[in-house]
Amino acid sequence: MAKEKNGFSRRQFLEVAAGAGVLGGLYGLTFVGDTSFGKPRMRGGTKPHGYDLSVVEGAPNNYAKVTERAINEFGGIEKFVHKGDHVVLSPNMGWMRTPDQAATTHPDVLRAVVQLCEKAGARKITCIDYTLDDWKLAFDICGANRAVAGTKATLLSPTDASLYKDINIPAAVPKTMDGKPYESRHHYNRIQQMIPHDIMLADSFICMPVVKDHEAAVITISMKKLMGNIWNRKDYHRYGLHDCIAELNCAVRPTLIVADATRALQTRGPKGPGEVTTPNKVVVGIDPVAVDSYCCQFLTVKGVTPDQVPHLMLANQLGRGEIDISKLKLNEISV
Amino acid sequence: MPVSRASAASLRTLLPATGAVAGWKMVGAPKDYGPDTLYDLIDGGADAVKEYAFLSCVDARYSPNGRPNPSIDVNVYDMSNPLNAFGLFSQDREGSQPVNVGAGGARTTDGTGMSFWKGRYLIRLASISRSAQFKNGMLTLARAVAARIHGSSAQPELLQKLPPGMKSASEKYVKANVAGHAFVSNAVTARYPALGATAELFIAQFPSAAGARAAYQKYLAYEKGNRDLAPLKGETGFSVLDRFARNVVVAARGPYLVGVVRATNMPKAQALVRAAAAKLK
Repeated sequence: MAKEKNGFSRRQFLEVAAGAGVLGGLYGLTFVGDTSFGKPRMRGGTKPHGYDLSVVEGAPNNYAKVTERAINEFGGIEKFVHKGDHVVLSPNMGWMRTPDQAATTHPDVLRAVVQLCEKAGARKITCIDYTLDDWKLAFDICGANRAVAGTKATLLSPTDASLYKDINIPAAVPKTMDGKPYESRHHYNRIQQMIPHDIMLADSFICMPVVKDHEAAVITISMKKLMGNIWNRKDYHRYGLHDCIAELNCAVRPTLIVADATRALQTRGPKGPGEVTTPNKVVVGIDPVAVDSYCCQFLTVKGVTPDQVPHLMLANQLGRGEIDISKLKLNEISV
Repeated sequence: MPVSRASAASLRTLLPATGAVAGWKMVGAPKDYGPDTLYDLIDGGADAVKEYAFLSCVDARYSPNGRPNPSIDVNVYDMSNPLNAFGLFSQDREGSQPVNVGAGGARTTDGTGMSFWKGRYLIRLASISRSAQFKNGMLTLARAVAARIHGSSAQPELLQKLPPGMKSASEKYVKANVAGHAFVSNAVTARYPALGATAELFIAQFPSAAGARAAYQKYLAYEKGNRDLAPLKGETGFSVLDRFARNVVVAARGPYLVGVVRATNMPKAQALVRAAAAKLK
């Protein structure tokens, strides 16, 4: 397992609360005393009213309302965030790219979800993404600072291994696929993995990817987004990226997925700059295979279909979700 | 694998020094990246680069005032040979506008990204600024780097085998997972609008005819169970209505595997595959 990237001590982690710096003393209270191994305890989500996905389209100056409506049409935030919860949000905010460049979740979408979580009575809201670019510049340029300004949400880029906890992924992966024995890539290659303490212990975990092309993974939407929340990324690239993504999603199961399709990065993902289109939509669901399969249609320059995405195909075969969008019950609205 | 010192030193000579391009100063020192550290620069994008025999990369920033933000990032990649440099460029340029730099260049519609290839090198430039100053500066810096590169920029011979009718600037060199299949690799591809907006022809070259036939058999086995699977008359080939890729036609000819995917018209797809196969020896 790789050591911490730059020798930061535990107290020197990166947390920015509404524009002010907050050090690690407060953070330590999140995990003291926890002795569970390997299994995140986030609450599972449920589908309201029988819909698999709620899809709302609106104007570019209205992304906050689009986001709120999409979540309301899917049952409302109270179904996924309870009073007193520690909520972790997982937006894309790790690149020094402007919102127009579509490499990061739109700040209006992020802020809308933060405010809904506050309204639902969340005790603590943490936005997490591992930044490869300078975190101060990334959070500023992508608008994440602006998104959380004046709220109780904090931004975190956990670049120190001590901020992570072991997760037992093989235990969560089915042992059979299509009736035949399946040995997980994690087990076969003895891949050890860790996720941030905050995510392991979150009451509610909301995945908030922006829809993007990805030069290695074909797409990066909700399933690939979880790789922004792990420590050991290099083994995934070394031993089988798509297998590992599918298996990671068996172990980490977001309470809710809010996919930002207000813009779509069509080429040169995940970082760009590339070609950008504006579908102006937000897609909400709990099934990551369904969300990602549905969102493939927004990647029009390369004409991606779900069958071209190996991690979607494998996750579907492992029973993690539905890849055939013709089988989904959709609630599609324009505002 | 550590960064090759020889490769890294060579790449740095391609970077314009501070003041070499009027109005642009280098910010800090360039950084070197190799196959093991490229992830630290471009994260998952590193896999796609490494597919094309990547050796090393140097990353430098330029700004009018020496400050890091906003700046223009210039990344010079050593891709071993022109074939791989073109291959990576052909992935970069999809959807972008052509620009006259190096052996071939492309710029994003919003002007914040540029990519070009020359010789064995692929060069990428990026910025967050859309100002005229930065757009012009990006092109000037790109041409300054191009002027420092010498050597052949011949396009791959395999590209000549693509039949007429392709969409301009859609041709690519793809190393792996052609048409989404692990058993099809080392191919040129291009879009053919007459067959549909996303219809694509591929011509994969294998080391031998036996290799092409083995890949063909795997493709055939994959398509069993899909509708309307039928032999392609006059060829070692088949056509099928794939539940995801729509009309698919595949044929093996010598050491080549030729195919069309995502066609909206089956007779046209069959005709195109036959035309492509006829050009192959």
